[in-house]
Amino acid sequence: MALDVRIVTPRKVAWEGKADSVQAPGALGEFGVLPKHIPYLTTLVPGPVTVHTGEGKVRFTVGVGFAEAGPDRVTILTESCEAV
Amino acid sequence: MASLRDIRTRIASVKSTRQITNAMKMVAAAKLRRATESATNARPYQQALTSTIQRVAAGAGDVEHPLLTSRQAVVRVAVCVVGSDRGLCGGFNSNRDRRVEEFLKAQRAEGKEIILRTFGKKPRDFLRTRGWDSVNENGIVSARFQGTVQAMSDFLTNGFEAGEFDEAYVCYNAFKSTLTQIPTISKVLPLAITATEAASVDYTYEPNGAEILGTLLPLYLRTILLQAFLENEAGFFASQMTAMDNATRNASDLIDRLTIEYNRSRQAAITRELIEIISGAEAL
Repeated sequence: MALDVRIVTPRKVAWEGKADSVQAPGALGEFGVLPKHIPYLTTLVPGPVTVHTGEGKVRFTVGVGFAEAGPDRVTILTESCEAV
Repeated sequence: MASLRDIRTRIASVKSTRQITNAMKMVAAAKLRRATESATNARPYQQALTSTIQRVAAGAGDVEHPLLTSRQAVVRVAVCVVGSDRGLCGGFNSNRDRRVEEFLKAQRAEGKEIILRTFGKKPRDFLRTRGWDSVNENGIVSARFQGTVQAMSDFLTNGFEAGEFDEAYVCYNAFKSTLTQIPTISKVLPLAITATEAASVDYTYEPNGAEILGTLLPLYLRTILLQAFLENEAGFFASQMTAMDNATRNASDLIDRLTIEYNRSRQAAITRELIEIISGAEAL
């Protein structure tokens, strides 16, 4: 089972794909999402986002925004996102 | 009748005008494609943000947030006009400016004080000559408008929260299609959020619904403004393209007419010369 991950900015969809887990900087601290996570919504502070896919890690630096997680998906909306 | 040489010069000059308008049309078409593309790219973000905000607002119940609160007495209104820096785009600017002026007059008639801010040289010049003072003027800085949108949202949020004005409006051309842009005046502050039915799943909010909403609302405002700028840009290029297409067609018509006139007067000159030769020969 994998997560459908989308990282969306006002300019474009920065990243989209399947992943095993996602780490992101939430307002109350860094958090990780694995499959079957409870429905969860948090704001993001600027910081690093790591997406673990089968082939390895993809890293991004995101700006303010928020993340929405569910059992099988993670959506990150942010004003800016740069691949590291 | 104009001399042959006059007509020839005119044809040449209209031809070079046509070349310019045609080139401008092509450039506008290319830029229009880019502008609509970035408007399309912005859509997933807007949709996701809007639906999340609606869901959070529904889940959080009665939320109080300064940006959402309407004031009872509206004394001052802020009006932001988004236009273009350059012209040669048909009625793009003048249609909107006319609506804006009507709107401003109506607001003033209701006794409201107006704080005007323009983005783009064209609306600035128009409103200034009509005697509307604007507090602050910005050119349109493209680079996908990040700085401009930021400046505008700072101006609006700070002014609104500090009570410098009680309502804010944004005027721009909504992009319906390449041929139609609709001058639009929309109220951006206080923000209107329609809470949808609460989602079937219960979300865990962190920190909590109200605080999330507080973070999301400025993002939401910026998205609305960005939308206005993107549509305005797409509309500008669309309307420039249409205007230049018309100009090119008019130039072609004019060239056709001038060519006919040229041929006629050439014919007339030849006939006249023939008559002169014949009558000269007959006289002998």
